[in-house]
Amino acid sequence: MKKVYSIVLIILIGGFVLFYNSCSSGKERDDAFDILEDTAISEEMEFEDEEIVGMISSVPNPVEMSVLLQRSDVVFSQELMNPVNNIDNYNSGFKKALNLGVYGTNLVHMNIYDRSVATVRYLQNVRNLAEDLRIGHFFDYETLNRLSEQSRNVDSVLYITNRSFDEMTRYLIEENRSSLAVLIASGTWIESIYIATNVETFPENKEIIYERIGEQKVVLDNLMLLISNFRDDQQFDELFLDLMKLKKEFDKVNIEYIHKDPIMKEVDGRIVVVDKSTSKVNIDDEIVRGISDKVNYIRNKIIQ
Amino acid sequence: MKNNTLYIKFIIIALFFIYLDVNAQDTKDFAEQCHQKHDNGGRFIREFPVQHRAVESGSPRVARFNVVLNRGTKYRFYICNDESKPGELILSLYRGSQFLATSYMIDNDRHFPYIEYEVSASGQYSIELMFKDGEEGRGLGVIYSMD
Repeated sequence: MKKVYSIVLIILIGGFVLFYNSCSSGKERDDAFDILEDTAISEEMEFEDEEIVGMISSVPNPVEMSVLLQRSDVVFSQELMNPVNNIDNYNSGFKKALNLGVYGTNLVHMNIYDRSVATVRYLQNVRNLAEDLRIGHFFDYETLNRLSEQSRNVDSVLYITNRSFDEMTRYLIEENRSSLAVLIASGTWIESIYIATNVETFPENKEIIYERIGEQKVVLDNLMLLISNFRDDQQFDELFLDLMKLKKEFDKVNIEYIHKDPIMKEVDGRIVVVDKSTSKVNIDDEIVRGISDKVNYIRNKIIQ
Repeated sequence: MKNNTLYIKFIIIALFFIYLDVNAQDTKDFAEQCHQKHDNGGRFIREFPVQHRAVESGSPRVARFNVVLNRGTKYRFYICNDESKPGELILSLYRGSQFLATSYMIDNDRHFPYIEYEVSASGQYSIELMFKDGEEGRGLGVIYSMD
């Protein structure tokens, strides 16, 4: 009897410790790990973890694109955001990870446009998806919710959001679940390009927005390299092939570089780089339309 | 006796998990302090934590990260060091294989708190982080955009 009591006690305390450390809200896991855990186990890594961390950092966080759109006087469109109720459709780890990136991008975009009160449900979706993927403890929901309700401190919201996503990524890679990290980054990037290619542009802002879209050519190459690591899985393979079609459109973008030797100098206790190199992105309406068509197709498949 | 063994095993496991949690919190606090120290009105873009053991022999270990930087944006690349460790973090910036700048001037043995770079050519750049002389260290490289 004493022995049984001891075992029960240990299980209870052990459970408490695990619960304490996971800091999750208790929402039950579903099939979030169906395919991805198998993928993680069978991954014959072509890249070391450090290389994945190094490459995934080239996928820009959505802040810069959204800031550019906002500063270019692009009008906010709620229709471009993934509807909050779509979360009910995401039953696999693959979908959850991709849409964590999508909703994360929506969250950032809405905050930049000061739609902070309307972000609350997006915040909940991000939290729920992150918890389903067992990375919810990196997401400071309470602070973000408080800041959103007060509709202020956008910079703090963006800082916390970006850092949370960075932390989730690093953790997933450390935990040998890099396939999920790659999917989150993919969802983030695709949503960002989807928004940029679907907003209404004006002659005054078109050039800068097109240029930024064209520059994403480099990012797509990196993303495809990362995804190719997991092509043994059919869903990854399908995503890769879809991105390959997008790449064909991006290949029409021509970026000219003129490299000059930079000068590094000390100015008031800091290092300043003076660089006269230039880049010119050659992209037109037709190319953007082609990119937009392919991105819309991929993005709509993701959010279904 | 068996009960005692079970208890000891449990305590070891519990301490391990508590250690992980404390360690994660400590890392988070360190990053927060770094951010507060460099709160300069810029927009946080990304951070790159590094933690290296001392290198007994050979070249110091280098952590390499790719970033895509945009033309017309002024970036700052900050460095934070964990003062409790001997290692001093060095950040170097490259475009492809072309060296652009470093936070450490070897000629006069000076470290600089940040590098400022107004990007004139969009594209992929890389950041290398290492500890001077391969010493043990923990640090953070942080990018802000200053537009």
